[in-house]
Amino acid sequence: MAIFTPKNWWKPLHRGEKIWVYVIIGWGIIMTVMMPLGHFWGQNVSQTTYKYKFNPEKGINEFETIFNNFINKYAEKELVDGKVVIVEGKPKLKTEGPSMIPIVDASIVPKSSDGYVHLFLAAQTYRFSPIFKLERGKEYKIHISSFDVQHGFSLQPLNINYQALPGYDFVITMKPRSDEKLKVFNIVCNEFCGSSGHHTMIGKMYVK
Amino acid sequence: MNGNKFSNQFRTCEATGLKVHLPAQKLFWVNAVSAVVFLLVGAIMAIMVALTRGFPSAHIITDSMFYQFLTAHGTNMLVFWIVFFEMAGLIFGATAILGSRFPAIKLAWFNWIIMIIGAIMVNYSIFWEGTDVMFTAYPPLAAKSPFFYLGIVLFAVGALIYCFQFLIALVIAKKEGWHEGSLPLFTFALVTAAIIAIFTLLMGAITFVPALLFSLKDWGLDLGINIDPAVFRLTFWGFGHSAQQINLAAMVGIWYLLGTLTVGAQPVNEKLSRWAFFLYIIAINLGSIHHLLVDPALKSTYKIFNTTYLMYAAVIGSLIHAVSIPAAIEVAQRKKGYTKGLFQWLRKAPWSDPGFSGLAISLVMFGFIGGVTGVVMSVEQLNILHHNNLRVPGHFHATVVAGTSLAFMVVAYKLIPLALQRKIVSEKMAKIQPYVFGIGILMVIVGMTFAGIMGVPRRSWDINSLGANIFSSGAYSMLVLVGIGGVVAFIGLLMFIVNAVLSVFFGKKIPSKIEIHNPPYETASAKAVTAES
Repeated sequence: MAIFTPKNWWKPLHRGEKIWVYVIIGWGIIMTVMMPLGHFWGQNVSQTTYKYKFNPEKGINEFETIFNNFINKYAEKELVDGKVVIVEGKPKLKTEGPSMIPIVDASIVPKSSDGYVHLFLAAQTYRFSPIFKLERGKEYKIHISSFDVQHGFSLQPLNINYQALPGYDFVITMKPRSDEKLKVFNIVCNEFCGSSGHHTMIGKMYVK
Repeated sequence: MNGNKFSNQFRTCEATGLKVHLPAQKLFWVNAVSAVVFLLVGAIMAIMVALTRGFPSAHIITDSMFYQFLTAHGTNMLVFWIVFFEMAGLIFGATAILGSRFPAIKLAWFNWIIMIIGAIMVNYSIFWEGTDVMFTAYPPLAAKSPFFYLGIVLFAVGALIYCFQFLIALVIAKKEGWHEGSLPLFTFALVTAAIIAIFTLLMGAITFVPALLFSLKDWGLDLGINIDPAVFRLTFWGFGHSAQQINLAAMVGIWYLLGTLTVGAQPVNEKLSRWAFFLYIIAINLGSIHHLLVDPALKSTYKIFNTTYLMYAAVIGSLIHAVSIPAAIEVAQRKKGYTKGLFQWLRKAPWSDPGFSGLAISLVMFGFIGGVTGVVMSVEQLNILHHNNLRVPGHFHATVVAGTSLAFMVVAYKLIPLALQRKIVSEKMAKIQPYVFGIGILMVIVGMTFAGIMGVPRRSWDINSLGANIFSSGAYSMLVLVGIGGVVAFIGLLMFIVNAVLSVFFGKKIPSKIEIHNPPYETASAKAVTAES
C-alpha cells in the first residue's frame, strides 16, 4: 500500500510489466530518432539567428537602423503624376491601413550575395511592418525581430508560428507555393505585448 | 520504545490508526486553507476570462481588465493554489504517513507568513497597480512596480525553506526512531517532488531576482541591469516547466494514495514505480526547452537534444505509472471477487466515491489528453503549428487543471476527515463534484485545442477586434464551447470550494484520542550503542 512501509520491494518485474517497459523504451527510441531525421531532411525551424545590440533606454537598437535603411530603399513611394511626393525632404511612403504601414514589393528587392532576397519584418506595439508583396514560387529570407517587447509571428490561415524577440534577428526561409490560390495572409501577434492593443496587432502579407 | 519530548504532541486517528503530529496538523490546516482561498480568487478570474474568450463580441470585461484578470488567473491558480496545497501535502507526507514529527515548527510558520505576504503582494500589484504581464512576465514588458517580482521571490523563498524542512523531517524520522525502513511510496513521490522543487525554485531565483533588481528603478534605484529576453525565457522555463513536474510527481503520488484509500490498491511492483519517479528527476528538468522550439537564439541541435532523449525519458516514467496505477486497482478489485470478464473490476469500482471517480477522471484526462498533446507539441516540426496558440492552454488545462487540480480536490475530501478531524458537510455534493468539474473542463480543453488548431492565438481579448475576419466560424463555435465549459467547470469548482470551506470550519468534529506516541523504533544513537556493545 502506498502509505505503508514496503517490506521487500526490490522484486523482479512480472512478464507483462517487462513487455510494457520494452515497448515504451522502444517507442521512446523511435521518437528520439525521428525528430532529428525530420530536422535534417528539411522540416526544421530556420537555424539562422543574428544577435543585435538592443538597449532601449540608451536608444540603441541596431535592427531598427537596418530596418529603416531597408524601408527607405525599397518601400513603395507615393506618386502623383508619375513623380515621387516629397515631404520634408523625404519621399512620402505609400501606406495601408489605419496604422499607416508601408508596403514593400519583394520583386524590386535585389538578391544578396548569398543568392537570396532578404526581407526585413519588424514587430512593434502594435503593428507589423511592412506589408510584403511576395511572388508565388520564389524563395525569400525573412528577418523577423522586434523593436520593443516580445511579439509572436503567427501566419494565418497557415497557422505557422514563431517568436520575435528584441535584439535577435530570426531568419526564416519562406516560399509561397507555386500553386497557392490565397492572395492575402494575415500575421497575428500571439505573444502578449500590452493590454491596450495586443489583440489589434495584425499584419498582412500579399502573394501574387 | 524510547521516550521523547515530542511524544505528547500526537493524536491517533480512529479510522486509520495514523499518528498525527498536532503542531504539524495546524500547519497543514493553514496551508490548505490558504490554497483554497487562492483557488477561489483564481476561479473568479477563470470564469471572467472564459466568458470573455467564449463570447468575444460581447466584451464582458474591458481589454485591460481582461489581461489583468488573466495574469491573476495564472498566478493564483498555477502558483498559489497548487504550491500552498503541495506544502500542505509535504507536511502530511512527512508526519502523518510516517507517524513522525515536523521539525522547526516556528520556522515553518515563518515560511507560511512570507509566502502569504508574497502572494498578497502579487495580487496587490495586479489588482491595484494594474500589472498585466501574464504568468510568464517576459521582459522587456515590465510589471507596474517591483511588488510583483518581490512577491514571487518571497513566495518562492518560503516554499524553498519548506522543501528543505520536509527533507530534514525525513532524516529526523529515521534518526529519532519514528520510522524505519524504506519510505512509503506516497512519501517517496513527495521526495521526488521536493527535489524537483528545489531545482525549480533555484531557477526561479535566477529568473526573478534579476527582474526584481531591474524593476527597482521604478523606486529610483537604477542598478544598470539589462535583461536579455532570450536568457530570461531560458531560465524562466527552467522554472516554469519544472514547476509543473513538481505537480506531476505530487499528483502521481496522490493517485497511488487515492488508489490505496478507495479500493485498497497496492502498487504492483514498487521497484518499477520508484524507477519511474526517478526518471522524472533526471530527465524532465532539462527537457523544458520545448517551450523555446521556435525561438531565435538557441541552436537547433541543443533544442533537439533537449526535446528528444531527455523528454522521452520522463514520458517513459509517466507511461509506467499509466499502467501500474490501473493495474494496482485491478488487482485489488479482483482480490475482492470482481473477476468476471475483462472489465467487471472496473464496472464494480466505487464510482460514487469522489476519491475513485476523481482519480479515474484525473488519470484519463491527464494521460490521454494532456500527456498526448504535450508530447505532440514538443516535436520540433509540429511545434511550429502550436506555439502560442490556444492549443497550448488546451494542453495544460488537461494536465494542470483536469489532472493535478482535480486530484488535489478529491484528495482533500479524504484529508479533511483524516488530517483535520472534520466530516465532509455534504457527501452528496462531493460525489457529483468530480463529474461536473470533469465534464466542464473537458469542454474547455476540447474547445481550446480545436480553436488552437484553427489558429486562434492564446491571451487575446478579442480575436476579431479589427473586423479582419481572420478565423473561420468553426473557431468561434469552439470558443463558445470554452465559454460554456468554463461555466460548468466553475460550478464544479464552487461545489468543491463551498464544501471544503464549510467542512473545515463547520464540519462535524471527528473525535480523536490524544495519547503519548513514542518513537516505535530505536534511535540512531541507541543503535550505535547496541552496535558497539
